[in-house]
Amino acid sequence: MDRNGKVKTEAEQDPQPVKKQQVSNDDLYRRSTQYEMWSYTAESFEETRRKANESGRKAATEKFNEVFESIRQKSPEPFEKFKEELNPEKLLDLLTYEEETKYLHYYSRSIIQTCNHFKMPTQVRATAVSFFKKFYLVQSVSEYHPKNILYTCVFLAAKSENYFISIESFVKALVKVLTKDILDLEFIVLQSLKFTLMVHHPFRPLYGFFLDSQAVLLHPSPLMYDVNIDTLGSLYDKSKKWLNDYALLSDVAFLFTPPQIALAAMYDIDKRITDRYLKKVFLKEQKLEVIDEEPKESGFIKKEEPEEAEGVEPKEDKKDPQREQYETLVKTIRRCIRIAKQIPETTKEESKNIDKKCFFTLNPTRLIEKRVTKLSSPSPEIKQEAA
Amino acid sequence: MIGLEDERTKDMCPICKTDKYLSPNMTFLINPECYHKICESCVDRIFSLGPAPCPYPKCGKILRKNKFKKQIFDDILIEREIDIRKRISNIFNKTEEDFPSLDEYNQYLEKVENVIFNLNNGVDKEKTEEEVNKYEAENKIEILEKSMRESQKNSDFTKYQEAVERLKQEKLRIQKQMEIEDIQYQKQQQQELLDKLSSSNTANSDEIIKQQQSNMQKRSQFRKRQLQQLTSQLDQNFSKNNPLTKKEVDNEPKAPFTPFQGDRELKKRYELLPIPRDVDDLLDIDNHADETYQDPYVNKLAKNKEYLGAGWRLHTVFERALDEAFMGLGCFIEKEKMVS
Repeated sequence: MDRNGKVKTEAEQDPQPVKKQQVSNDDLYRRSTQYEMWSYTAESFEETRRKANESGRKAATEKFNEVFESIRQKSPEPFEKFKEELNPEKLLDLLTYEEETKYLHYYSRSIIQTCNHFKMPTQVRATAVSFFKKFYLVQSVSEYHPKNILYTCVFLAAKSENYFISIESFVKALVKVLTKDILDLEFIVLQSLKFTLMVHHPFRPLYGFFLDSQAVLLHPSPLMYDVNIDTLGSLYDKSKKWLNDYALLSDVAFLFTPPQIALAAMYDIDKRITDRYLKKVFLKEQKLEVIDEEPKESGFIKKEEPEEAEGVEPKEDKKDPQREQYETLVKTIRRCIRIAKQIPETTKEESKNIDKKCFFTLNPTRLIEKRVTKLSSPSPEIKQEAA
Repeated sequence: MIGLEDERTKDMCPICKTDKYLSPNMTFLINPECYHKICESCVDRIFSLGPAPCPYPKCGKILRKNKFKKQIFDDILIEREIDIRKRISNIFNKTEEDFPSLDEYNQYLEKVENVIFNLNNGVDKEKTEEEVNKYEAENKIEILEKSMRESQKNSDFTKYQEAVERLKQEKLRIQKQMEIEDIQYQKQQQQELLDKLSSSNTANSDEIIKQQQSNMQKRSQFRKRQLQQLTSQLDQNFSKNNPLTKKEVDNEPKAPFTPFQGDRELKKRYELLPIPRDVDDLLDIDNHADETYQDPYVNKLAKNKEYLGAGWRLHTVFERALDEAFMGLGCFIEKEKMVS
């Protein structure tokens, strides 16, 4: 009954919609927040972290100076007496960038322990680690102590991955943590994450490659004499473990895309099978093109990566784009493996030291008071230590 | 002109004061001249001898009996607007096909709406009325043609609906007939069974009963198939003979909606192995395992009847994993972010 006055809009009527640009799956990934906000080049990643550390140190210094002044005004004698020992420069010992990195790695490990304690699925565990790392890309240990941030991240990750635990039962299972500690931090963490809760993990892509490698290597007939479903199954299981051991704890999630990380895991576990698979997938139409010779451009440009099309003029006469793409991919995977294995090892003593430093950075009052009592007390032993 | 009646007097005819409570059969009528409510018996009494003035005090409009009608909407204002709309749309009865472009059609609709609004709210009433009359006089033939075309369309549609109804009836009849036949057959079988049992020795009886049961099952399956065949035949005949059903089939599915201002990746990087999609195939998945992806855990889940009932299918799991495997594989962050 449109005669009765329902005015149609023009868009509804448009008989032939304008031909729109095709969007590839890679473009879809480029539109994710993980790519837009949380992916870095190696250089910018380090820069971001250094900046976080720097701003943390700055904030901690300001806080320290404030406290220092107020204590000095309250009881000036010890400060007069030990002018040498009690000056801010000497007292203040902040975490360096390297120390902070180590310290965070130590806590990332304990996230995994915490999640295992609650028997959480892999997805939650990985998301919690990701939240934690992202938080400390924006904030610094010198401002927020990692312990409670860690629990908040786990709690938040459980919620965002649909594995809900009530706050009461969560806190009950932890030692010396209050409901308030977590709920107060929740919003701060969310804000630092810029409210991006979706995390793409390499686990499902790995499963996808497990499936696709079956299709490519086993069908219609086995391609390699010693590869069957069981070898691929064990490759998959080992790669999963690799992801848990290396990818989760290292920084690869910020530097590579999930499928690349998944392939890196497979490549590191069994180079032969993975390489065969990649060659079959990425170089499969090569022979055909050699036969045609003619520059059938329309066919090949589609296969090409968009950034390659617009990139610097390549020496295209020799290398065909497929080959190039394959080589870039393998190079990327190799780099990913290398970075994934650079997880700083921290001894217990070292981490204890850093922990102490961190505690005093966050509580400058305690630091100063401790020093003052130490200096004031006549015990020679302590005096020696102080000197 | 129109006064809102009191809640109390709502069910009472203001002329003869008959109450609905006492005579529940009484109905009210209104006349689109003045929209005053009068009960049916009063209308008969006052207007049967020809046109007469409205009996409401201070109204005095001349009303005719044949214009009286039942009130459909509770709100008299809406009732009036619907009347006006009906009258105007009978005059301005062009459809979209009569215009070269959508813009012009929209303008036409706008104009019609303006006319309706003016008449309804008493804005420039005389002038608008004049305009409508003028338009009607000028386009008399066209309007007539149009309305004839419209009524033709409507009658086609009613014919189609009738045919659908007939088809339904026919199907029902066949089904009933088959049911009756089945019942008769069953009775007969039972009688035969009893006869057999009484004539044979006891050791055999179990076997005979079993045989009987399997026979019955076979027959019922056969009958079911028969019924299906018959109905599908009917359906086919129906769609062949009816032009309207064909139209619906011809409506090709349009390009799928995509929220990304373009199409989804049509050229996938992977080739899907055949994955069982039917429920029957899924339940029998162990026999197809060689042809499809092998994952003992997921394949076991695929057979789970609770999952199947809820609509969970194996291929969605595989497709999702495969899609994600290639989503972002070609994004080389180091290179891409360096430029920006």
